Amino acid sequence: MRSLVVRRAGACTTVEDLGRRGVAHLGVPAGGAFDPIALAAANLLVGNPAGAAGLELTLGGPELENTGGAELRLALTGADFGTTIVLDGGATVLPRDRAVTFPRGAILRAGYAARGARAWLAVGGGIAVPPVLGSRSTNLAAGFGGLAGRALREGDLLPLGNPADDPSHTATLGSWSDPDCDGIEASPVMLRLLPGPELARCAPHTIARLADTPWTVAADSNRTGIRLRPAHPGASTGLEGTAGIPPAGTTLGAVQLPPDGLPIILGPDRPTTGGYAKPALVIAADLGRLARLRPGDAVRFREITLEEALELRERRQQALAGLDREHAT
Amino acid sequence: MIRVGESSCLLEFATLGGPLVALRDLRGRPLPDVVELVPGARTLLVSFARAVSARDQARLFAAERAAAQASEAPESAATLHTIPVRYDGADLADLARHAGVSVAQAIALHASVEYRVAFLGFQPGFAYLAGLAAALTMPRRASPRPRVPAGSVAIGAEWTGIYPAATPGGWNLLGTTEVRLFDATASPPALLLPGDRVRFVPR
Repeated sequence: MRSLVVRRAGACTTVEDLGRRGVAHLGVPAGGAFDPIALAAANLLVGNPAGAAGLELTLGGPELENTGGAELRLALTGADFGTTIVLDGGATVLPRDRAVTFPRGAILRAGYAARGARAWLAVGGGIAVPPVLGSRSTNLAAGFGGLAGRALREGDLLPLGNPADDPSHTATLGSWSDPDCDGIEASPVMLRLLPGPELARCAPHTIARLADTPWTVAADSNRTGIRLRPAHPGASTGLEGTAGIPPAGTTLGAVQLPPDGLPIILGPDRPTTGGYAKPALVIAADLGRLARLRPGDAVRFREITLEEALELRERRQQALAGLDREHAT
Repeated sequence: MIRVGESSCLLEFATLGGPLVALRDLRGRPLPDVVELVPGARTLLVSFARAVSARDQARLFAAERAAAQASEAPESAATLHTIPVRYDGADLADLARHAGVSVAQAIALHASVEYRVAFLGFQPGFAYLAGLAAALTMPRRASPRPRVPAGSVAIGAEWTGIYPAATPGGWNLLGTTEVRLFDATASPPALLLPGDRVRFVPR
């Protein structure tokens, strides 16, 4: 049987695909990989459909053993976890953003992310947990989907699907380079903004104040939301949040401003409706940067136009489409 | 209507029924590549798998206008749910005091109305029920409880609702029900759907 054994679980390693569609009106969050493009890229590299289920690694990575009878293909995108493949006592570095073979009996050993918070691991054939509500993603809060509705634990067995095509095929595949996540290597990380749906309900100059303040990612950030604090403790940001907005549907990357004036950027596990004002939105092309933010990271905001945001979104999609075409030929 | 980023629009309505009318319209004649239609309080979020086009915006604007003019009477075909409630919640006495009535009167008031599911949110299967008697409206607690048990029937501002699963929560607790509100393996997974009708029956 094609499977992986979890020898060490890591800080919060979850099964994710591209998330649930058409269930938000039931209060069910979309979930899915925090950076769907990065997971899709990893999948395409190993010859999977873009929406196959993989693993999302968070801060501290897992140790996985290929105990099944088959050689597997792997691709890892996102932050650098110092990942190695150990076989017969020898360790080799697992390069990111390209497909590699994972021999029988080998161990994948991911360490701690030196920079960035998350990475996405695709395995040929995908992780074959049963889909729930149209997705294999893990809903941690409600405890369904993924592997038993929870993060991985030591001793878990991850079932794998059958690869779609001949493994030799992937030898022709190139590598993936992300046009919009190079910025994560810089400090501060720049997140570009569009006006949000409740900007008119916020105090004047709210976006300017968001952009003027140097921010730090708070420790209680997670897949529900990335929480920010002023980089200079005690500094006045001049920001005032608004509560009591009639609850309205939420989008990935919306910047929510609660009454304490400390922004929360909504993630894939966010509640489907929310009653705090959302004066701004992180542009789609910067969701990969958002997904990689870790506590302590420095963040700045800059407003751009909708036209610019649409162009940047298109560019990131095109990079993925290039990989898809390569896969198809 | 407000454009929300690259791939969503938020339709706005003067009433709580407006989003439900537009939801019915947009489900009946779907726009291509729509991935989510999420009703809120007087809003409907429409999200696409791609960037919103000028054509989408024209169609959504028309749906918003049509819904504003349509009748909002709940469809008689909308499912009526009867929910048995044990009115023994920790905040029941506070609620009665706040409303200026006896506990028995507060229970009678809560159970005398047919509510309508305006939208869901907060957690899977959590329905915001519209129609609460004005006397029973009560602000959320100043500090949320760390754990509200599953099945708690509660009031938050002008809404009443039932917590499907245990969670931290700030609404005022009236009682409990054993009815299961969310089951990820059922179809549909939520018991209460937007537009459904709900009655509470004391037991």
